[in-house]
Amino acid sequence: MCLSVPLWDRVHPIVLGMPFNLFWISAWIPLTSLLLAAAKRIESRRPRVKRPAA
Amino acid sequence: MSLEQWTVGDRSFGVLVMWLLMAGEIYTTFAFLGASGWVYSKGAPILYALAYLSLSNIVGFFVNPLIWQLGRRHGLQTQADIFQLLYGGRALPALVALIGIAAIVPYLQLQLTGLGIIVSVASYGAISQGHAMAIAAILIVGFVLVSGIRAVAAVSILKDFLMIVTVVFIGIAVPRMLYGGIGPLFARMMETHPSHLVMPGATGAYGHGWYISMVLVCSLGPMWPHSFASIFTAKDGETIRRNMVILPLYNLTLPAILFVGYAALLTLPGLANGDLAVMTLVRARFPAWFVGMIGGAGALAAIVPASVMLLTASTLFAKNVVRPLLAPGLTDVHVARVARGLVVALSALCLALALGTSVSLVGLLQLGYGLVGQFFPGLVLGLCWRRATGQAVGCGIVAGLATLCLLEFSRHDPFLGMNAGFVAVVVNASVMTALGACNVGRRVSVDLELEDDTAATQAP
Repeated sequence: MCLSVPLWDRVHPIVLGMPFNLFWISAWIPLTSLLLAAAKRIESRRPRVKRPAA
Repeated sequence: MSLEQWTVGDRSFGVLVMWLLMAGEIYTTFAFLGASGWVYSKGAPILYALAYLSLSNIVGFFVNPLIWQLGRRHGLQTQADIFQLLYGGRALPALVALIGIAAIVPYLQLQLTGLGIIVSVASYGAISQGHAMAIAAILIVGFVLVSGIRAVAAVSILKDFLMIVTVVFIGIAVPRMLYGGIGPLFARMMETHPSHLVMPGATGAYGHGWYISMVLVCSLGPMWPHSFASIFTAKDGETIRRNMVILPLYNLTLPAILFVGYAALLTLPGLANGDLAVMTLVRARFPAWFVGMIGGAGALAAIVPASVMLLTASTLFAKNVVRPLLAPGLTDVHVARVARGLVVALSALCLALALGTSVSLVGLLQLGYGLVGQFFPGLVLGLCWRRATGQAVGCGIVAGLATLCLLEFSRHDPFLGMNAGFVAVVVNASVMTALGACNVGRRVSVDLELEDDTAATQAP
């Protein structure tokens, strides 16, 4: 989404009526939510560890 | 009302309220006017906004729960409090507070400016921008003084509802009304303004390098001081995590607004101020009551974040600058009073700035991101890295600030094709790690005891 810019910054193919770059970025919005939901699930399965940080 | 209630609502907000509050403060007039204004005048580079919002949600997912834990455990109320906790002393927190305030002031000014535009256009010119800004400022001061963050959360509910409904509606309705849908809209764009659709759009300087650096620096968005205020209100860590998972969905309003921006470009070319595009288009095509509704949504889009920012900035100044440096004997009650006084003073300042100057909305915001980005190395690396010391962090921040000011004042933004704020954060982090690695300064020994707190919330 960030570093791969030159790969997707273009108009074609047109998806859902949108130029590809707009579609790509917009698709990542709900994808982010999904990925975070998955991350949350993974995190809550890890054993709870007390770790002093200082 | 105690300082604790006023700033963090006694840490009792659940998932829904939190979502509304955080979304409420993130989605400002920038989202409403500025983003579409950019699409209008510059085109594709605005995609950075959608990208960075998603990335900042990811950063927030990992960072915010930690911040919340520290807040709950140690009774923290401001961002500077965390630096105080991690590194001790009074100078560093004060510096952090001052930078935070310096970043907030333009952002607040931006909200007032945006609100002035929205109201004056939505009222068909009946209310001038100046009057609208003054009235809004008074309103904001009013309910911040009376109820603090609870009032803000309540209004945020209304704001989010209005914003989602109106933006999604016009995002779909406008392209359909004018062009028969999104597909035909972009087909027209390709005929008439093909360069607008890819970077660098209509600008010379905002190409891929700039884009990458902008996205990276703005993804540090959770470093904004007022986001800390919202985080601290949550009643448990689970609330925070759940919130970070669903927060991205609010971003879907942005593509909708971008459609409207593109439509405005095609139907109303030649507007001097791109930020006016959406409102002008809406006023031209929709009945008056709808225009009023949009105006209301936009006004709230300014008022809610402005209130949180004002609350945050006043508390920062009162608690982390005035008390430590000038009047160490102040009780919390007095700090709360000073903070309230500052609410009035700061809003007067921002109003004066908004009335007196006219700068592009998005430009102001980018400067703000450069400033708050400076907190990221000290805060996040400091949480994970034992060698981080107050002195190292402080020097890093100063170096980053110096870099930012140097680049801005010599008009070198973007620098080597990269955003100045991003460069400054890199400098900051490098200085900090270098000094830390050389063991400059002593680390205050704080038993942070960070742990997964989901166990705590599941306990009967």
